Amino acid sequence: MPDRKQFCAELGIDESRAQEILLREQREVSSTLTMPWYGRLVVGIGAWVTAIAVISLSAAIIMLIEPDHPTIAVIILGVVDLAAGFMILRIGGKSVFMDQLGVAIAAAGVAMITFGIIAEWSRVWPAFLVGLIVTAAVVVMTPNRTLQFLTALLTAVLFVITLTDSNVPYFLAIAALAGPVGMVLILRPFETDLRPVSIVLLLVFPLFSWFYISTVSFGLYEQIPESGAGLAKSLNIALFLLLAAIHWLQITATDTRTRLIMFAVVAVIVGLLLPPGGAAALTILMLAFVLGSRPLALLGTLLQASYIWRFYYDMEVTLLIKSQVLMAVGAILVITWWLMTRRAAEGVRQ
Amino acid sequence: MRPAEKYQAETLHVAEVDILRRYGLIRADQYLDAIYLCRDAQYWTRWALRALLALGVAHLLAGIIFFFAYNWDSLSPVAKFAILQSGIFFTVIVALIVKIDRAAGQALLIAASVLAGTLLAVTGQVYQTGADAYELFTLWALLIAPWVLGSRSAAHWFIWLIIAGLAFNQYAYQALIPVGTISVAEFSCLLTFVTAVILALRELTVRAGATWLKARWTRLILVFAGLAIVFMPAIRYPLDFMPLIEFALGSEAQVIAVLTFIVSVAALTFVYVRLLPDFGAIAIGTGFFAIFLMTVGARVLAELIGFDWNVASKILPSLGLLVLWCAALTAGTLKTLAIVRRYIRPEDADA
Repeated sequence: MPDRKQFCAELGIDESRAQEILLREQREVSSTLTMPWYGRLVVGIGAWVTAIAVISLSAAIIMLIEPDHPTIAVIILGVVDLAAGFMILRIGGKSVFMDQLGVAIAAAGVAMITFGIIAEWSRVWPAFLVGLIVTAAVVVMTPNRTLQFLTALLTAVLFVITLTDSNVPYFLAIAALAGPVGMVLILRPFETDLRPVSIVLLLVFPLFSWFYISTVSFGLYEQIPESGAGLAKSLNIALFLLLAAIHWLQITATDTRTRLIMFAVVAVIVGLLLPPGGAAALTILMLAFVLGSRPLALLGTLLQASYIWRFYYDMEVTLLIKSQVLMAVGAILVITWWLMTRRAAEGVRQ
Repeated sequence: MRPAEKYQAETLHVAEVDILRRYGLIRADQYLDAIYLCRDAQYWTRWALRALLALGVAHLLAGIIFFFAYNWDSLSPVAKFAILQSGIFFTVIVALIVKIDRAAGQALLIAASVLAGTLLAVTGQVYQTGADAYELFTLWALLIAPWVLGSRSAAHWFIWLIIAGLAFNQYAYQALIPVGTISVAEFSCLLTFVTAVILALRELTVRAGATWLKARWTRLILVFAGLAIVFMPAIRYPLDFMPLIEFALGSEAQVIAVLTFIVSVAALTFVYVRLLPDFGAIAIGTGFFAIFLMTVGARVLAELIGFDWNVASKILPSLGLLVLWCAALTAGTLKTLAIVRRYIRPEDADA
C-alpha cells in the first residue's frame, strides 16, 4: 500500500487537505476509519431492534385512536414518525444516542407508511413508489448510512413483491437490472455517499432468486422464458466480464493478464452452468476482488455456499442433472486452480 | 492543525479512498485508480486462488452427494461401498502425493473426511444397524481425527469441531435430556464451557507457534458460537412474561444460563481487551450483551408497569420507555466500541 505522499502525488491531490479530512473523520465515533464494518453491523442490529419497539409503540397508538379503521391512521402516524426521525437526526448533531433514536423512529415511520398503503389499497406497487421517494429523501436529507440501507432494503423488497404479485413477465431479468446500477454506483461513486443503496441493489437479484429458486431453472437446460432467468444469467456474466476487463486495464504483467483471461473463460463456462443466482454470487465475489473489499467477499462467499444448499430444493431439474452440473463446475474450478497455481510457480522460478 | 493531531497513518487504505471521494478530492474517474493504489494485490491474489479451490471442492463434494441421493435406490450395496471407499482411498493417496501441508492436500483430506461420513451413513442404512445419530457422528469424528491432526488445516479443524459438536449435541438430546440427567439450559452452559476450553486451546496453540491456526476467523467463529449457544436460554429467562416465548425459545427458563452468559461476556472482555486485544471479539460480545440488556429492560418494564395492550396508561409508557432504552443501549454500544477501538493498540487492531 502506498504512503500518503505518494498516493496524493499520483492522483494530483492536495496532501494537507487530505490529511485534514482524514483526521476529522478519524474523530467521528462511527467513522469507517475507527469502526470496522462488523462493528457497525452490531450497531445496526441494535437500531433494528429499536425500530421494532417504535413500530410496536405506533401500533399501540393506532389501536387506541382508531381500532376499527387503522390503515389511514397507520399511514399518518408513519409520516409523523418519519418527519420526527429526520428532525432528530438534524438537531441531534454528533450525539450518538440521538442518531440511533432518529434512525429507529424514521425507519419505523417508513415501514408504517408502506404497510399502511398496502393494507388500504391491497396493492404493493404504490407502496414501492412511496418507498422510492422516501429513499431519495433520506439520501438528500441525511448522511445516515443505516437509515439509507434500511429504507433502500424495504423499497427493494417491495419492488420484488410488485414484480411477482403483478405477474410481470421476465421478472427475474427486471430484478437483475438492479445489479448493474448498483455496480456503477460502486465503481464510479458520487460525492454523496450511496454505498448502502448500491449494496442493496447488488443484493436484489441474488436474494430474489434464492427465495424463488423453485420457479427458476437453468437457462441452459429447461427454459422458462417468462421468468427471464436466461437474460438475468447473461447479464450477470456480462457484469463479471466487465469487472475482469477493469482488472485487466489495471494490471500490466503479461503473465497475470494471461491467467486473468484463462480465469475469465472458465468463469463464463461456470456462470452458464450454474443457476442465475449462482452467477450473481460469482459476480459479487469478483467485485470484492477488484475493490479489495472483505465485507463483499464474505457476502459473495455466503451467497455462493447457500446456493449449493438451496439448489437441492429446485424441483425443475432432477438430482442427476444437478449432480452432474455441480461435479462439472467443481472439476473445472479445481483444474483451473491447479493450472493457475502452476503458472504462478513457474513465473516465480523464472 | 496542531502537530500532535497530525494524521497518524502514513499508508492509505481502501476505506480512506471512499472518504476522500465523498469530500470531492478524488474524482469519479479517478476512483478505481485510487482503489488499485491502495489495494493489497498480493493478499487478494492469494484470496482469489484459495476461493477458487474452496468453491471447486465444495461443488465437487456437493455433486457427489447429490449423485448418491439420486442413485440411491438403484445402486447395489456393493456398488455403494466400492464407490465411497475408492473415493476415500483416492483422495487420501493423492493428498499424500501433493503433500498434506499444502492447500491442495488439505482440501483432499477434507474431501476424504466428508466421504468417510457418507460411508458411515451408507453402512447404517444398508445394514440397518439401528445406531443412534450421536453414535454415527462420534464414530465419524474419531475416524477422521488422525487426518485432522496431520493436515494442520484450520478449515479441517473447523469441520471436525462441527462433527464433534453435533455428536455431543445429539447425545445430549437423545440420551441425557429425555431422562432428566441434564436440562436444555444446563447443556447449553456446558457446551459454552467446552467452546471456551477449545478457544483457550486455540490461543495457547497459536502462542506455541502454530501459524496455520493463526487466522483471526478461527478465534471469531469460536467466540460467536460460544456466546450464541448460551444466548438463547439466557434471554429466555427475562422474556418469560411474553406469550409464545415457550414456543419460540423452548420451555425452560433457568438463571444458570443468565449467569453463564454474563460470566462469558465478562471473561471475553477481559481477555480480548487486556490480554489478547481483538476488536472483532469485543464487537461480538458487546452486540450479544446489548440485546440481552434490551430483554432485561423489557422484563423490568413488564414488572413495573406492564404490557397490557388494552390499557393505554400501561402500554404507551411501557413501549415508550422501551424505545428510549433500546436507543440508549444502541448508542451505548457504539460508544463502547469506539472507546475499545481507540484503547486497543494499533498493531493489534484488525486492518
